[in-house]
Order: sequence, then structure tokens, then C-alpha cells
Amino acid sequence: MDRFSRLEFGDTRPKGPLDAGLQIRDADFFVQEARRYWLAGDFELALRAFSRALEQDRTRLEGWAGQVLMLIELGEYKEAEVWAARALDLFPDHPDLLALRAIALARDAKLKQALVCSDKAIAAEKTTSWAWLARAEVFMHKSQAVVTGCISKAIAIAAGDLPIIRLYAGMILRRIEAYVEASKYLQEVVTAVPAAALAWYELAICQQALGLPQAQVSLQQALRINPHFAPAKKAMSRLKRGGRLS
Amino acid sequence: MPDQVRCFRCGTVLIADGGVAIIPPRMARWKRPFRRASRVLRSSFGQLDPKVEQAVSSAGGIFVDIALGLIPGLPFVITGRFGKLWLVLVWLVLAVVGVWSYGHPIGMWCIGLAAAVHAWLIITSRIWPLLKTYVDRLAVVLVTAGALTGMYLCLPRLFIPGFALIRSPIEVPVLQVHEGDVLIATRLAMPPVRGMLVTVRASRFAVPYGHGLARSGPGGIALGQVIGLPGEVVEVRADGFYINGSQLDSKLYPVPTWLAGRQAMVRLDQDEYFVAMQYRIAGQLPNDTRLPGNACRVKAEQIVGQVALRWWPLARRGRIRLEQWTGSLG
Repeated sequence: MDRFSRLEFGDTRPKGPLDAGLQIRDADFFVQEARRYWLAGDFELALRAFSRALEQDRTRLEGWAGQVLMLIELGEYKEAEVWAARALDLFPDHPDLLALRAIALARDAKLKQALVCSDKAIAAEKTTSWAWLARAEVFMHKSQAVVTGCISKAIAIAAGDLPIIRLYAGMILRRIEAYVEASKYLQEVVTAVPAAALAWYELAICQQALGLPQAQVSLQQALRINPHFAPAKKAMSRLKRGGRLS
Repeated sequence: MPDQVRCFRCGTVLIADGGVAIIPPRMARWKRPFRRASRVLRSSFGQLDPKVEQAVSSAGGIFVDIALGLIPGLPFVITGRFGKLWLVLVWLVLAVVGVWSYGHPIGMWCIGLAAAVHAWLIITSRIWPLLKTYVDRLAVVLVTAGALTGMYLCLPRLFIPGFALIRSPIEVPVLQVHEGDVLIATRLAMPPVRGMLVTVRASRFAVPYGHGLARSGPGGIALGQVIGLPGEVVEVRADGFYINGSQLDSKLYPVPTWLAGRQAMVRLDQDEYFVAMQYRIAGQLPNDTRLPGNACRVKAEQIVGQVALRWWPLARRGRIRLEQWTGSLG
């Protein structure tokens, strides 16, 4: 509203829509923020946002699971494992947390313990997509058929978080160098969530491995969404030098 | 927990107040490369883990662990517990510094600490949980560290024939050897030549002057300079040594302090050498002309090694080459 809008000069300018105001900064808000940061590849900010969500509501499972997942993404596997154990104190035998703990252990090359956790997650009463993704992660060094089987089950039972499950599935498949299958999932993710810089980056790596020229476009897209996305910047400079991305 | 309300069926927290910590632990940046290395090792050797671990436990657990632990960190590598491998790095640094500066107090401290770290590595692999009290633990660490220090000191002797570390009691300026220097001796590689610094097995000495004349050098080994060769006549006079009537340069063949000013003539047999060794004089020695012969005449088989290296001080560290015996001393 400008200074003279209330003066009566016979102004017939149509009034705009009323300002909806700021969104309430509750746990939901911070969880959404955290997911946005995560998909943009900003894991540190996502971790902080998940912590702020927990500040609002300490019984929020997404907050705890998100923190563990971000610690995994940041490469702090031991801390992720400790934090998952802490979260499991609050949510005993929750399959998501067990699955995330299994992922942290598997990434830390503690496969025996990871397998135990994964077994528990699968055996839980209401198993989740994350349990199957963790299974895929644990069996990553086995055959590709086992991994793709686990991923199919994860996607089959995914409910609301399908793009995120697909993104994670794509990341697992990319790591076992199943680039064709990975790009299929990642393509679906970038179509559903175009602002997911992480998905664009992963897609670019797959495309580059498959020798597709779209790799550069995907990387540019990732950097347009998040110009500070360090792995994407590094990948872009490597691509310009003519090397492999991964 | 008083600040939490939980589901009575599944135990899930329903209400939690400020008592629940929500800030996750974070990894220090400097740990990242160590964690990565540990992960790589775990993923490389982790596959062997179950079989080897089973073999280790079936073969008598702790004792096998101790035996394996003689190679620092090996039990951890075999069983895939790489978290403690940073201690192996610490051990390695201490051992290298200890060996490098052996003969200096810092070196001795480092070797002691390396032994303590090694002991810790052995004990923590399996024995630690079995020890319930601090006294037990301390005792076991100290005993193991002591045993390992002994092992470290014996180890070079296993690999280098005739190895001995000797603090020099004699001065030979032309070879840059001064009193107090730490020298390394190895097995005799050639028949002794004049001027050579040799180690002599001193336990077979017949020193007839009781406590007045005590040999220098550790254990049964003494250090000395070869002066007279088999069959020669060695004379000790006020101005130095004479061989078959010809005077030796006193700078190249210094007379040990306890012999200075004495007069003696020693006729060596075909299997005897005259080795000028330093002795500690504890009392008044008799003015006996047989004294130098008794104290310095040694049989060929008693000469067990030759000095190969000046080890400490660092500034003079280097090999004592053969040319120095034969070339400069003649």
C-alpha cells in the first residue's frame, strides 16, 4: 500500500489480492524447508531445518529420520548411526529409523551390523519403502538383480514420498553403475519435482556415463537451482575439461 | 523418562519436552580422511572377517591375540576393527622418532612410549574387558610395556648379526669418535686391522686387579681400538704406542687415560691382538708392567664385531668406512 492510496482523488485502480501473510513456522514448515534444501543438495541447511522442526516438536519422526539421512548424505556415518540409535530410543523398532541405521552402517562398511538392522526393518510389522531401500544398499555389493528387486519393492509400497523414494533408488542404482535404470527413475523425479538439483545432478552423472549430451544441460539445470551445489560445480568443471563425472 | 509420555503399547514417544537433545553429534573435519581410510580398509579386508575371526577364537583367543598383537594393530586389521588404527600411526611415529634419536633421552622416551602404545594396542584388542580393576589394568599395561621394550631392544640383534649399541668410552678424533658418542657395531666383516674400532667379548677377560680396574661398555661387550696385530711387539711408553720399535702417531692411536704414563712391553702370540680399551679406575692401580698386557691382550675369537656407524650425536651421524682404518691410519 503506497502513501497516497487512502486519499480520495477518485482513484479507480483495482485492488490487488490481499497479502496472505507469512506461513506459520511450525514443525511442518521446517520439515518442508528441510526437504527443499535436501532436494537442492544443501544437506547442511537441511540438517539445520530438521533440527528446527524438532525444536517445534520433538516427537516428529520426520525430523529425526531427516537428521539421520542428512548426516549420511554429509558422509558422517558414525554420527548418523549414533543418532539413529538415539532416535530409536524414542521410536522403538521403527522401520524407517532401522533402515536409516542400516544405511549408515552399510556406508561405513560395517556390513554385518547393517544386515542385522536391515533384517529388523524388513521384519517390522509395517515395513516401509526405506526398509527396502536399505536392503538394496546393504546388498549393493551383491548382484544387480537383488538390488533392483529391493528397489522395485520399495517403489511398489511407496505412498506419499514417491519422488523421494525414486530419487534415492536412482542414487543407489547410479552407485552400482546401473545407469539406464537409474536415469529412468531420476527422469521421473525431475519431471515431478523440477526444483530437485540433487536429482538433476545424479541424472547428469548417469547421462554422462551413458555418453548422452544432455548431461551438460542437466548439470546446468542443477546449478541454476542451486548455484552453490559444490559437487555439481566440480562436475561441471570436469565436464568442461572433457573428463568423466563420476 | 519424566519429561516424556510414551505409547503404552509400542513405546513410541508421544510427548517430549526440553529434556530430549535434538542437536546431532557432528564429525570433526580432521577425522574425515582417517574415517575414509578406515572404511576402505574395512571394505577391503572386511570380507575375510568371519573365517579369520573364527579361526582366531578357536585357536585360543587371548593368546593368539597377544601373538598377533606383536605386529602392532594386526588383530584389529584381521577382525575388521579399524577405529583404533590411528594408535598404530602414533606407535609408528614414536618408533621412528625413537630409533632416529636412539642414544638421546628423547629417543629413549619415544621408545618407551611406543612400547606403551603397543602394549595398549595388544591389551585393548581383547584382554581389556577381562580386567576389572584399574590396578589390574595398570599392572598388565606396565608388564606388557616392559616385555615389549625388552623385545624392541632384542629385535635388531635378530636381524643384524652382531648388532650392539655402545656408548663410546674412548676418544679417536681422527674417526670423529668422542667419548659418550653412541656407536653401532656389527659382526666383524674382515680380519681386524690396525686402528679399527672393535667390540670385544669382555666376559672372558682375566683382569687380575680386582675392583681397581673395571671394564667399560654394556653387558659383556667392550669397545676398543686395535693397536697391535698378531706376532707384533707392542710397547707402551709415555709418548704413545710403539710397534716393533716404530712409534705410532698418538693422534691416530690415542693412549687410553688409564694407560697414560705407564711403561710396558707386550709380545703378542699369533692369535692375539692388542686392543686399547678404556677401563674405569676405581682405586690406586699397582705399578705393574704386566698390567697393560693383562688388560689389553685379547684372543682373536674374543673380537666379535666392528663399529660400523656413529649414531649419536646427529651432527656426526655416518658410516665409519673401511678406508678410514686402512687409508688414514695406515
